[in-house]
Amino acid sequence: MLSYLARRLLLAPITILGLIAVIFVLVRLMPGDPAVTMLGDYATEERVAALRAEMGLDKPWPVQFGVYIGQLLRGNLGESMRMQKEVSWLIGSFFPPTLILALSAMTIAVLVGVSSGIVSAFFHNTKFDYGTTMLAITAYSAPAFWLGLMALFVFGIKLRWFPITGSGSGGTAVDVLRHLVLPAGALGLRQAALVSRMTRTSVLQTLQEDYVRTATAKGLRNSRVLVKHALRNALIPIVTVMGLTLGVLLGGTVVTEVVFSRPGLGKLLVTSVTTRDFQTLQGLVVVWGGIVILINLVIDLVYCWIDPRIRYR
Amino acid sequence: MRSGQYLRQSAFLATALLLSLVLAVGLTAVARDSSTIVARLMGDISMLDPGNVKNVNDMFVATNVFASLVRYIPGTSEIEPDLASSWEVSDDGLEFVFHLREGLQFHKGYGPVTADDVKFTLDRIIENGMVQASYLTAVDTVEVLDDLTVRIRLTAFDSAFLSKLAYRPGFIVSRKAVEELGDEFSLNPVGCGPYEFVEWLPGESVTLRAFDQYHDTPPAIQNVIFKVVTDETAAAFALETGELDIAVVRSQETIDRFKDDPGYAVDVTPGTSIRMLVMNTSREPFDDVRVRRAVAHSIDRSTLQAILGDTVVVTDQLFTPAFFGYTPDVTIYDYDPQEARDLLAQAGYPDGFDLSITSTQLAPWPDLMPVVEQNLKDIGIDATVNFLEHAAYNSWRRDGDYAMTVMPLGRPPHPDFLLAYAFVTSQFPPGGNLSFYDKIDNLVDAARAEIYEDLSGELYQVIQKKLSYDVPVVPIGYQAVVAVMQPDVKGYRPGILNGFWARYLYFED
Repeated sequence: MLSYLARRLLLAPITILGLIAVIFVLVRLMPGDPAVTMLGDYATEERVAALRAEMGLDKPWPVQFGVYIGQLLRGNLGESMRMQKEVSWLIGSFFPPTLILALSAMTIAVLVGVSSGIVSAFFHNTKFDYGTTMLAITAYSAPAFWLGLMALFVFGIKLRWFPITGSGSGGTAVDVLRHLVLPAGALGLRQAALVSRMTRTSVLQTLQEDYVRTATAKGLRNSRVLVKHALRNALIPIVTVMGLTLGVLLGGTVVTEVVFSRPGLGKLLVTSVTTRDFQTLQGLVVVWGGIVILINLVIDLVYCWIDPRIRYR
Repeated sequence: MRSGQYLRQSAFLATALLLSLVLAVGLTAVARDSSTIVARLMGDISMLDPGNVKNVNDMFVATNVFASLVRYIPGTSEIEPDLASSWEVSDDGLEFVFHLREGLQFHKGYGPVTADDVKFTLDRIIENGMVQASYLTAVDTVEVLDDLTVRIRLTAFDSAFLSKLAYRPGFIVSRKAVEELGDEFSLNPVGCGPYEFVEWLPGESVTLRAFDQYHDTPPAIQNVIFKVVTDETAAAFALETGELDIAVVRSQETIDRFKDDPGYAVDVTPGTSIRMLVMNTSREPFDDVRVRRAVAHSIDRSTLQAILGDTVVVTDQLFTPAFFGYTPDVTIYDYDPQEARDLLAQAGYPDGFDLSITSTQLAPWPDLMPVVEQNLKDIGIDATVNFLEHAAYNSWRRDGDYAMTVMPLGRPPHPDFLLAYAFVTSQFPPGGNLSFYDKIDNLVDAARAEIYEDLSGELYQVIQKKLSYDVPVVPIGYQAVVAVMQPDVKGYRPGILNGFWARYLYFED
């Protein structure tokens, strides 16, 4: 177990290094010069050259790459030339709203998804089951931005229940919650559909296992059979989907952030691309990559905890 | 089946709980606060240090936080006193002596505004080669004569110098604040304008508060919240829900939505930011003025205006009446495809030629270029348009390797800004003279160096005539500044070039 953990932890930096190399080349292949973008159209050739030198962009790519890696090893994500701020500071200030949105959406996805999935499985081939299946397929087929726009239109504009711009940061907890309901709902319900389908299938499968029949046969209550025996074994695929969902939610909030004018990493990413802010762009990819790798690691560890038969050697 | 009932009950209970929570949170109503106005910011701010400010979002905030020695009278190219109560110009026009008002204060207790702060502001931009340095190339020295008097010496007379001081380079910063705050100054600026900077919530909003020691008429509205609403549709929705009191908008769709609705006020002001087609006069086929005139005759402006609606005021002239020295008496090229074809034939292209045009993807180009493409095809020029994302376009065009391209150019309404950037030989690409036009260097220098305003104005008229005759560029239109506001928002005056003046706004009871 421990050696598995060590192996995974060793592999993580290598994965990240590969990721950095890819993004490092990609941003430099993009047409458009960061120095020109920063200095504006009045910039003289000398100023552009000077700024390129200041940013280290005049050096060969391998040298730039070496410098960047060295900087990363010292825990420094670099400085955003566009804003003259530390990239770590930028990511630090744009991360919380994204994290809050992703976690809220995740909570909704899990609560709604798992419960409706279990009920569907338990009452499979009933009206309830058909109903949730239809709803789930509809929700999952709709693009996130469309769901967001619909929610915004109905609850924001027609009913005026919730605000439609911003995240309420700087306000009270109620403000933050009010701003969270629509975007988290739109994002969460879509993912809930996926979790719900997965849970239904998984629970349905375990319900047909011999040990479930045995449990029922020895006279246990249905609810006990479900929770104690069936659910626990049905959890593995569900946890996998949940992990993937969190990854998707962290990275996939861009559109929802734009629709609801919320601050967040997605918007920071878009601005970094349009302004050719290389350092921020690279920093974002490193952090995002790190988070996804971490989530996967945690999921693997959760497997062991759920199912002691799984031994990593 | 007891457990089934149990499950159903708990599912019902959970749903009910969730819904009631959602409703409770949702229905907490927010009352209208007349001491605060919420304005749209089209993107987040990136740096508010006036020495480096360049994008529209930063300018929206900076125009309210900072003040300059002199300023534009709204909607005109006229200059009026701001921080300086008066000034004298030496006979040779090389020395400007400014007298600061007494009792001027910087925000947040950074003390009085002195001549030393003026010197510090200008020296800092020049010495550090900040973005604004290109406006101050004529400045030789800045001397402090006493606490409230500063003398600026120029190397050559610059008739646009006051205009430049009224624009971004002239925003006076506090020496003490810049030295104390260092890098922090950029996102926590200290000026002496009508509003002081309170708070920036990254990606969310910028909050300003009326400065109680502002030297001019105090702003009517106490707080200004600039809310970052990037998406145009989201901005329209936010206007509908009242989350925005006023928004500068960009798309015709949004304008149409509010234009005929009495529940909103819409202000459309032609700006001073021009959109033009540029022809490379240094290579075939556009080195021949007849070919350039043919292109000018081919453009169907009434169709363009119909397509662009209120967002662009289509024009056949380079300058608008808002410019100093404007004259309507220039060569105008009417829409006349037959004349265009004749001109092409005279130039030796009876069958036209193939032409590849590269354009930026920024609005309004994607809307208008298909019309231009068709107009050119109609006179026999087989044109194809390629679009580049804006940052890519900006780098690409610096090589000067094209026959025709497009150019968006926003400058204050003194002709020198535009001419000295886009029509003199020292600005051949990578500079802004995208047409490689080399015929008016002397005229531009002479007009700038002319001390007598009347003569200077006349020289600018000569330049306009010459440019329209030689037609290195085909003017398409001026980007309009369109603001949509709630009906009780009054006093809106469009700011000069990307600015936004909150100090004139007030709520009607």
